[in-house]
Amino acid sequence: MKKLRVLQAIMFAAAIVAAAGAVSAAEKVVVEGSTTVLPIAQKAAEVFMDNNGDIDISVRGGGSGVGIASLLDGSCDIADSSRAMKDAEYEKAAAKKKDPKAHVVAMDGIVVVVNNSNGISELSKKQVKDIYTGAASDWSAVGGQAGKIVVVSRDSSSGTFEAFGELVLKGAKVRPDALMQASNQAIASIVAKTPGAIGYVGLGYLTDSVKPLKIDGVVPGRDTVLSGKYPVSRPLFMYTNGSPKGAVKEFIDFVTGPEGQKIVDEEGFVALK
Amino acid sequence: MVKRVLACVMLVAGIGVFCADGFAGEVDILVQKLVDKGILTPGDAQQILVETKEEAKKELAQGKVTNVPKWVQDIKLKGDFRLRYQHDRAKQATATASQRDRARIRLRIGAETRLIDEFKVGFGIATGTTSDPRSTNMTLGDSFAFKNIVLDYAYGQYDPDLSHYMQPLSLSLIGGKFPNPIWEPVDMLWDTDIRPEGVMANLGYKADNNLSFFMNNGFFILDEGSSDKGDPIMFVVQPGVNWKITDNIEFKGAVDNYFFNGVKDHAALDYTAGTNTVARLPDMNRQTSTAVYWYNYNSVAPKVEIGFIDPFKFAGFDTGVPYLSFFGEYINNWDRSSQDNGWALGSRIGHKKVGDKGQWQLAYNYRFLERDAWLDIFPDSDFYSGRTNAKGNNVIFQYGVTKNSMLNFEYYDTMSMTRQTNSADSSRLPAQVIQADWIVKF
Repeated sequence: MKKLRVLQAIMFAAAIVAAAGAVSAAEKVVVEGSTTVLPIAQKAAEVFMDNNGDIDISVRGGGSGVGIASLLDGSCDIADSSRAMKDAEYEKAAAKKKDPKAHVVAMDGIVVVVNNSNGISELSKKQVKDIYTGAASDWSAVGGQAGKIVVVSRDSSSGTFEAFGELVLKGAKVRPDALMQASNQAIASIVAKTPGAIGYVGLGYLTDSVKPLKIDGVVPGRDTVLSGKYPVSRPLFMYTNGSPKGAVKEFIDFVTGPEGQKIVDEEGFVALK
Repeated sequence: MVKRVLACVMLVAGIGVFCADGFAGEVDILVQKLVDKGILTPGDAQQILVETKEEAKKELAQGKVTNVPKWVQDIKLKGDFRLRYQHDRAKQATATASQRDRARIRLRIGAETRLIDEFKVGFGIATGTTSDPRSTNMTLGDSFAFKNIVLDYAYGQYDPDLSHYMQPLSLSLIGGKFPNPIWEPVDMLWDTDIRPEGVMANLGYKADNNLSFFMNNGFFILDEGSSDKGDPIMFVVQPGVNWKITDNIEFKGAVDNYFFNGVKDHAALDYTAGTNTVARLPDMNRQTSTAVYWYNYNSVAPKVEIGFIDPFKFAGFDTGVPYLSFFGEYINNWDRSSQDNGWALGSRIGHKKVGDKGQWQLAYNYRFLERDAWLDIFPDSDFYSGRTNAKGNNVIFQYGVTKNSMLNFEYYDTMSMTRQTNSADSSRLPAQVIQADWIVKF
């Protein structure tokens, strides 16, 4: 009888310890990948964790390729990506019996801007590429009044630079004498002060101080980016392995929901809602 | 509501995944109609379209992986087709100049796959004949006769993972008949159609992003005879460097070291151009009157190319010329003391490589190859019919018509180094070749 009581006490204690452990162990979600998506993921994780103390979201960059590789290796739960997965990555996933599922969380639109005094109001994507690679160095070469083009670009570490390189330059190098700037605001500021300047900024950073250009005849704006008609735009993704469940689902729902989309707007991207 | 629409579209997408393009267009129209009716927002529509496309891509990939072995999935195919007009004009030793105009075609198709990560197998087929290792052309004519396809190359390649031992070191072991890995800025020594036979061990060492070293080491079999005890063979060791000196200046250099065994005193090799020194008299060891090589061809061949990116873009002066390079090559056969040198000098201007519409390149080189500087089974067959004891000019212009399609114009103005001893003709027997090509790569 005494032995039975001792056994009961031990089992009771073990149950309490297990329950306490279960309560204290927060569910952990690892998010990794694109530096372009990083600010959205970081800010969303902060706000999400404030409201969900039992879920710990760890966010890190590394690039889209790194994030996708980690998702396929099982070392992260969500891969941020500023591009769609490549066929080879899907094939690798299939070989590893993984089931990547895409969630579009935002759209990225880049606006090419010039000084307000510039008579140009439209360029083709090819003309923008020529200007940034140095093939065209005078406004007269692209239909404007004669005058040297001052090329302003984001520095190579920025996601906007990466997106612009991918969507417009198609891998070509920016001319070496371009003025490389650390922020969208710095670009807008230089273009606003320099009559012959051309730059590019995220759609969310467009102000009246600079003149946005139509590209291939399409006006940059929320509607044209969301419809996919504006040529310098792209979707931003979060990939999960299979349909998300538990904390991963809660976080994805948060990012694609009203609060998350407000963060998308605040970070200078185009919200889906 | 949106999720229901998404589920609906995904279901339809799942059914239609195998008729990808046309089907994608139909989904676009359906989603656009839902946007027009105010059922979906443009953002929801974009989300549905992109995610549907991703699902379709994934399902295609899954089908591919499930049904086909990995080595089949990993097969990479490449090839090219060339249509050529060629005009040859050559002065004959016993007659006036002969002329010939020909239309020729060349087709090459290659494939490679990896059986495991470190082991690759490759093979290629091409137009050509088994009696000319220096040409894959087939001349049009002969009452529409069918043209020959031959095995161009077939090899196995082992690339062991050395990252555990020394991160920047790479090694490739190749065996069989393979595309020539010996680097040369101009095809003075090696016709580009030649596929060496034997084994190679190619080492690479990447010091940093701007500096790397390579060393190509080969053992090649030149001939094999059932009754021949000393089959002719050759060894090559080619150490070299790739150095990006600045963002705009790059340098490549190498020194080839060639060692031959069994060539001297051996009967003239198959498909010789007939200009190396041979002797018909039997020497002390041979009781034969067969023509045999009088010399060996152990040689050293340094070569360099220095390239300038945006060469004329300074002080605001921009001609739009993206690339300019100068190159040179020299060879000395140290088994002979005369008629033992060869050299080439040249330049390229335009785009570094012509692979896209509007790209162009103009190149020029002058070559000088003495009689026994090099074995006459190897040099460019368009340059004085691949002979040694020849010198002359070569001009090439290439222009990109579309992506992977280009026009190529080439002119050779060549002659023998020695004059005719015939009293009626003391010329150097000049020969000219004009080639106009349309080339498509795929």
